[in-house]
Amino acid sequence: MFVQLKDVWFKYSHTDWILKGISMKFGRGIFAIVGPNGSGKTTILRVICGFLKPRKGSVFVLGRKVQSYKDVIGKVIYVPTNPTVFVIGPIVYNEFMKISKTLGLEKSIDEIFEELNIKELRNRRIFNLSEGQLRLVSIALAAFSKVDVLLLDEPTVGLDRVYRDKIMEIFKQIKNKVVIIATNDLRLATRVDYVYAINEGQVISEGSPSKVFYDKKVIEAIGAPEIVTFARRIGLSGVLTPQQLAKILREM
Amino acid sequence: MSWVLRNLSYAFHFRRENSVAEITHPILKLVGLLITIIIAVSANVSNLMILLIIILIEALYIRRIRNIFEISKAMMFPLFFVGFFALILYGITKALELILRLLVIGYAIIIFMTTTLPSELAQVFESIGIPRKIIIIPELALRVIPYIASDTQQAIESLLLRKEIKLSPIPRGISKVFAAVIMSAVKRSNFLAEALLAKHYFQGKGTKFYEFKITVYGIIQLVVKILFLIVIMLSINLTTMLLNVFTLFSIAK
Repeated sequence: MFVQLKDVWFKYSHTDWILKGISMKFGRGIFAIVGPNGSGKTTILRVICGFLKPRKGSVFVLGRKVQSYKDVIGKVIYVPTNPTVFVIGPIVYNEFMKISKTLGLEKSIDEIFEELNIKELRNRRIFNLSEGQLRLVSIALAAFSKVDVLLLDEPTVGLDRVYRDKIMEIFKQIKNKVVIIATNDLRLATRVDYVYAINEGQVISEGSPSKVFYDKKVIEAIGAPEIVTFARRIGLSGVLTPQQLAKILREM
Repeated sequence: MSWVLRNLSYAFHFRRENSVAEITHPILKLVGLLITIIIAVSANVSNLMILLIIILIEALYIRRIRNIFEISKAMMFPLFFVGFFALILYGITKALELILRLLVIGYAIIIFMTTTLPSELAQVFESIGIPRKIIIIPELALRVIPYIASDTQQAIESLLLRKEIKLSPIPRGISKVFAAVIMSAVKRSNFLAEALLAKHYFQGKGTKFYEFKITVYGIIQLVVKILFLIVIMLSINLTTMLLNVFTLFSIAK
């Protein structure tokens, strides 16, 4: 296992328990942690980074117990909700140059721009990028850097379908890495390999998206993507995309 | 570094505790704060100790001990540094004096900030005729403090893992954090300005949301602080005076 959380309990000094015995395992692939606001998604990411120390339980990254953030430097990269504080610029190209010097890049910068079809952003100033472009650049930086674990906090907030698809494209290109996404975007969560659904600091369901999003507990706590709601109404299960639904309806 | 910011943001957290301080007129509290700051910068060590005790009693009475605890945790690290250098340069008394002054000012500000919403203060200033365009500057500045703290925390954490900055043993690249936070703040202010314009914020008269009272607490805290100021102005050492009174009582018995 690349990342493992064993019975992690966490609380701040002035709050109730935020994480209540969370156990999770992350191997290679794309994982989503879904849950309502305040359920502890970001806290889990920050515990993995070593910025927060669990009150009970332990966290392991690449086989090493995480005591502080120093244990994960060079292994983990964390893109917070606000991409403005992750990309410091001033020019997009410089940003890739910097990360190639500090963490290393898996591909040449030109290759990355070419593959993502974002050549027009190459010499743009960070400050002039739109929210979506900034998010895309921050995720590209994280995804192609030479680290094994990517932690992304709400990567699709405020993005349209085109940018969401581009981000999924980036994820599909990276292999041999652990991508952990904390998100409320159920459309994104249906496209990952494995989902952990959490509520009030506890895992309420886990498994493939087709299993988790048809789980009654998850539907009650988090809700379900529209396609799932529709499929359940007509008595189907395991359907997550319009293509799957169309195929089943044609066969019927 | 991030725990300092976290504690700071908890310390400045406004909570409705149904204490008398929340309904007390903000002007009473503001004048009390200003007097406390004047005393804090001019009093000697023993008077500062007494002022600190008064502030702690006040915090206990208005249920703000938790905020005091959080700001103490946040200030511990900077105070240690300041105290250390003051100790080397000026000796133990000056170091203690400096730490006490900073503590008193910090606690007084926390008590004021956690019992007064920026919009309450704005309403009071507006009622005494200060133009709204001037009032809105500190009001918005106070409102964005938690966002700036959160952005700073996120910037530090993500840039640490990017190896762009280093905190120990010698901090490096901190200017990058400032650059990121300033960029984020400029963007946020832009959105905020647009939102306010869209809500016609500068047009028409303000609305009175809050009802304030001249409470007993408000008057007592003000009177105590004014008396304390007089004591300081008359250069009376309060500890010596109290000790003398105590000795006199003992002798009389």
